[in-house]
Amino acid sequence: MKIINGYLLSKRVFVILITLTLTTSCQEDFLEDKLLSDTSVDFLYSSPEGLESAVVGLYGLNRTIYEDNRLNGTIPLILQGKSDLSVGITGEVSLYSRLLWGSSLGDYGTTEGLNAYWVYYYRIIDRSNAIIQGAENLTDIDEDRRNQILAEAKTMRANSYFILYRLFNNIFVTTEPTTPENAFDKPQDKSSKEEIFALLRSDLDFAIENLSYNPEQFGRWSQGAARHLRAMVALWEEDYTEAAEQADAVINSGNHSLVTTQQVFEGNLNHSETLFAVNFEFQTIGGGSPHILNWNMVSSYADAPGLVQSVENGGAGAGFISLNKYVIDLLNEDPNDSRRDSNSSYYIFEYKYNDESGLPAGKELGDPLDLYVNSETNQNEFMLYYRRQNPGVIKFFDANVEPTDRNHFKNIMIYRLAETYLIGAEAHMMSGNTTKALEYLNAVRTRANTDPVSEIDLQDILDEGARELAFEGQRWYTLKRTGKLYEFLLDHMNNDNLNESYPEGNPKNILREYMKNWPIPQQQIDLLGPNYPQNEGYN
Amino acid sequence: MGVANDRPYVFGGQTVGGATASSRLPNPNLKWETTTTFNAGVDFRLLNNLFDGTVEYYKSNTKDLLLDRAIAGTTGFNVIRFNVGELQNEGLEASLNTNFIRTENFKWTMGLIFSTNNNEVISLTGETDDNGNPIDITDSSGRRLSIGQSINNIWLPKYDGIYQVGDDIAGSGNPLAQPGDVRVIDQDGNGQIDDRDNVFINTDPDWYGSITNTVNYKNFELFADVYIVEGATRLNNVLANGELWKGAINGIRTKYYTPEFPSTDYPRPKPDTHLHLFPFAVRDASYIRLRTLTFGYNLPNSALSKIGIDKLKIHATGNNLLTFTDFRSYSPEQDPIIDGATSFPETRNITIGTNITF
Repeated sequence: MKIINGYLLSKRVFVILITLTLTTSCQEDFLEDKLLSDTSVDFLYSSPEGLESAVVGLYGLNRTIYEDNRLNGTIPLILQGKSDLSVGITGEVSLYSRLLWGSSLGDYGTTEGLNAYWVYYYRIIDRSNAIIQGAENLTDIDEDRRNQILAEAKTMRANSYFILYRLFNNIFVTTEPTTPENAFDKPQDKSSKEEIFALLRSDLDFAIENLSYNPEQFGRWSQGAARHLRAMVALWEEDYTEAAEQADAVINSGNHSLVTTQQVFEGNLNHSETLFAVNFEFQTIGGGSPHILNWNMVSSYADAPGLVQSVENGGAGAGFISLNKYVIDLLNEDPNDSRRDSNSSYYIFEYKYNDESGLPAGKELGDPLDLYVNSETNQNEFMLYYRRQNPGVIKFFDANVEPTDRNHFKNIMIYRLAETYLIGAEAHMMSGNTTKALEYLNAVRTRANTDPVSEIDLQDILDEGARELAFEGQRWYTLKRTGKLYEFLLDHMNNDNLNESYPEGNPKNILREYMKNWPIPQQQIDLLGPNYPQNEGYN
Repeated sequence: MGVANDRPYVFGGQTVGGATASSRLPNPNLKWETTTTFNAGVDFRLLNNLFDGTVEYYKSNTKDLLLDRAIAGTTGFNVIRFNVGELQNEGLEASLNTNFIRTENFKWTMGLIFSTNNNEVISLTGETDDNGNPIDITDSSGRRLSIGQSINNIWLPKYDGIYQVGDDIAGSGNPLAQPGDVRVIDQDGNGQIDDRDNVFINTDPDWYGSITNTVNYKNFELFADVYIVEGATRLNNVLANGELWKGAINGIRTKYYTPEFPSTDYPRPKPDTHLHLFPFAVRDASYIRLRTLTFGYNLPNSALSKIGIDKLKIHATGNNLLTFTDFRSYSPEQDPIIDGATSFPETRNITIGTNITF
């Protein structure tokens, strides 16, 4: 032992050297990591297969907002909740109808719900930007293949920016994909309306030129959908000539036509009226997670004695929001309106008794539920009416799942020909072409078995839009565009008996004109440049 | 390294493969954290082993913290991991053993342990806002880092009591409130409660420690360990749950506000979720706990040697026997709901056993 110690002591230098090398840290190249699998972002944007795979990814991203079931599936229904056609009965989505959520900067509805729209759509935009840049720079690719990739990605980008603009107004547009180098270059100011619309026009015009009316796979962007979007963009710019042209092209293309009211929302939506739908499929890879849209907008009729959940009655429902008196009256205007029928795939006006064991006296199976009264003043009575008997919306109803299951895999209709007709009607009317406008308006009316009309004005078109397209997520945009949002909400929102009963006060007293622009959530504004403008009215 | 996640889709019921870049933005400049620690301690024995103990002071600085940082939603990404700033932990640990009584038949020692730690964010990115104030960073778990504050904090408006009849509600931070609702301080006095009214509250305890007593009398032994945490703050998930005030779930019993009994401690039941339940639920989580109590008996050698056993000890031990705290939940450190799933309370154990040596 002593010898070894003595030896070590005499070799002090070596001891010090060894200690030094043992205590210095590892060199950097030990810490370098390489991605060894195929699915790296490099692969995605530098080969045709990768780009096509990334485009499929975009559709998946577009679907996520509907799969978001937080807060009882409120988020995909915020626009429906905020429209002038819905009545907010209970549940989280009704808080948007009552303006308790989503109408100020600090409330939970803004930080959770409105924020989701900002985040989801900007994510689609960034991935689209990356695909577009990758496809444009790729040298070794067939031109048609490149154009197809670009057209789908550009439509997805245009659709997303269009939605963000109509919701948040003060948005920032870019065609640069995010990289670690530019991620912290904070946008300092919003983009001008001119800049935004120039991008929308250019993206959609490219898509129209390069997409087919009949894509190989159902659910992909088609020329019909791109033209439909282009027409809507034109309406927002008050370019009625362009809007009319695009609507005409879709309607006259020979590829699309209206179907019966029973067929519109039936099955997987793969028919001639659909322009674009979000696809789901039960228990299939890529089939997505279920949505609970139907559950929010069908009444909880099964709580009434004598009824159980069934396909005929619209399946599982909670009665959170539903059709309000304004749109129900519009639908009742024409006694033959097929959209009210029991076989219509739009709405359910009557829930039928179907449970022997609970039948009240004097009722038979198949009789409509009429136990409750929509009292003007008695809150106990009208709440029961709203929750259990109010007409519901079955446009997102999945007939293939158990009627007690609220988790649905129904494809979701986004754009359809009936709306194109109404867009065309408005565009022709504003251009002075009343005959054509009436032709289009009456096409929708005739399909719904209502009498054609001989006069047309904006109110008529808005009314028909209410009847035809209620709860499909477009009404709020249309009212904002035509400058009618504040007025219509003040006149029609919820129903007055509910408005008077809300504990925080009548939403009509909270409503302000500036609420036509959604507040940019504080956590998003914080991450933007210090002078980035918030929408007026929110401080 | 940019990673792409699988994201297949169905077109008309047919599965098609797809992929999309993950929401985590890669960072090519990432490096390791480095921690520098300074320790100084003293071990001592006094008065012929009556007292012995240690005192240790430490200061530990961690640089280039690995943090997830939220990125602007406009980028299409949620989060990036990066190195930022400096964090300091400074504290004192002391322990003291007192051998009060050391006689043939009776021994008693008491041990004290005392710990205190002060955590502080020293620097962050160095960016400042318009007013020259350093910018805070929120990491992806929602923690807000701010220079001069602890990294373990709560950033919420400050709870100020329950609105009562006769209060100036219209002039307060929440003009639409009713008596029985939760009131928070409107720091900037603008009649609205938002982020600018948030304050930082340090959740770390001011100090914690334990008192241990060991008593031996002839063949009996007694061991008791008391654990104390003082000054900890915690968000009480039970009180913060909106469903509790709707009467929709089971929870703790409270003397809630009613017009006949206008409580100043708990809000009124209402059918919608109360505003500001989170600030209301920030509570002191200090506690004193009898962590372990053991009572044992060693059989005397005289009895054992005849049976051929060397040693035999019978003991009864109790764990987590008593807790004294004002924090109303399963316990000051255990929530009934963790990450959305219900959990069991900490258990109280009583064990009876024997140790036999042959």
